[in-house]
Amino acid sequence: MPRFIYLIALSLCGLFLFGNFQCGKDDCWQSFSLGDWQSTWLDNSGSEPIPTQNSVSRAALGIRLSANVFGIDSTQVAPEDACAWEAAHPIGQLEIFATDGFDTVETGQNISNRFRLRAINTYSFKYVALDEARGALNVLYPPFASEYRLDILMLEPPSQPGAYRFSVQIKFDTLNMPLNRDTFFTLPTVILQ
Amino acid sequence: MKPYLFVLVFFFSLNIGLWSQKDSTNSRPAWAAGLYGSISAGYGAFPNPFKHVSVAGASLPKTGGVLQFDAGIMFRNQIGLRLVMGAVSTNDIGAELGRSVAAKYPGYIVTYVPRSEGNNGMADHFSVGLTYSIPRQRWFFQPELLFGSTEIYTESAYAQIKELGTHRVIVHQLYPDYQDYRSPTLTFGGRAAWYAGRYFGFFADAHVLTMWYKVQYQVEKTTLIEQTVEKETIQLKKTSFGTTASVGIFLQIARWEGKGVRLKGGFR
Repeated sequence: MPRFIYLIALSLCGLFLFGNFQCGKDDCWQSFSLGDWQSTWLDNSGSEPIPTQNSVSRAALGIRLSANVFGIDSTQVAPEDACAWEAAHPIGQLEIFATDGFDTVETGQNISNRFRLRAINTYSFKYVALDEARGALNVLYPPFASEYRLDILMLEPPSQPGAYRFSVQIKFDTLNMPLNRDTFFTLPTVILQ
Repeated sequence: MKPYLFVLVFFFSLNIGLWSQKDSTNSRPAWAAGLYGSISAGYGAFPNPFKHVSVAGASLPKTGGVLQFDAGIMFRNQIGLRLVMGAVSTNDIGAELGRSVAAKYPGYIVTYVPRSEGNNGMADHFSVGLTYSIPRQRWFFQPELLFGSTEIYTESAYAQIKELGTHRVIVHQLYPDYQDYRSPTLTFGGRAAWYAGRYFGFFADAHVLTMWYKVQYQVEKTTLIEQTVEKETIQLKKTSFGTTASVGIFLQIARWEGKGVRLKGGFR
């Protein structure tokens, strides 16, 4: 075989190896895991939801669920990189229940449809129904933080002020793993004004 | 221009001026007309949307600087012509756009976020107009009226409008019809110049700049709770005033001497 064929083949290999291809961007797609879940009430009456104690306006009530993120070295990724991180053990379902009944809601009833996930990132800002939030729950975009946060807003609050109790259940797709076992929170009583 | 280059040109020009002063005499006839070129640097005070971000690349960031080159022809005690081109600190129409959106939603919290890099450049300014040269000894004064245009960067933007006390949010995506827009300008001002040599001198300029701009945006409004999308066109139409003050050097490239006129106190 003529020598120039080898040269061309070698040049092509060099191009693939050292050329400006996007192959290296595969590093962007890595996975993370979540653990050490915590929760707090949110007051969304201002420009941004802020953690609050147990008393909040009914029209501005929110819940923040937070967890520690494992598996991401955020220092390796520049904020401008178009990277995203996927959950190794995706959250399959996020549900909220009324611990006590109110209005037409019965004790223990699933009231997830009264809530929306506040899904905000560099590219978009949406209120997403909890049963449609799988994408927002399981992908992280830069800037990455060591804390994972879900801000869930109550769009249909109880009609009367008073003390209310809610609980949250997080179900993962991958069961029986050391991390990400199904998680159930009973949130502290909140006084709605 | 690099600072050391500026200093070099400055001292070179100064040498020419001093050298030319040596052989000047009071008997030299007054100049009648001249072609000149000049360079000046100064400061511009513009209200929004002419916010200062950078000037002349990155050399004088966030100073509100003005860099100006001009050339023209002047006639003694007569009308002359001047062509100006320069760079002004870039304008930032975002502030005005943000205010315009906020004005539509009293009682809401408006968060305005520019999406493009339009607010980080250098805007050019061209103008041409008439001057009038009034000589006094080694000085001349030159009122001027110039017409031109200045570049205005528009920008894509995002505004989050949040109702106080509730979860209600309206998201605005704003897209300008044109990324670059030139606003017509009218400049009124004057120059006071002092001859250091026959062909060389220093001057100070002061200008008032008026701009008229009309920028159109397409707005996509999404209500986050109801999930409705509405489209709208908004127009920013405004007259804006700015002032600049600058100092510089000029070089009289050529001059035509008058005949039979002899002046006291110098080589004019």
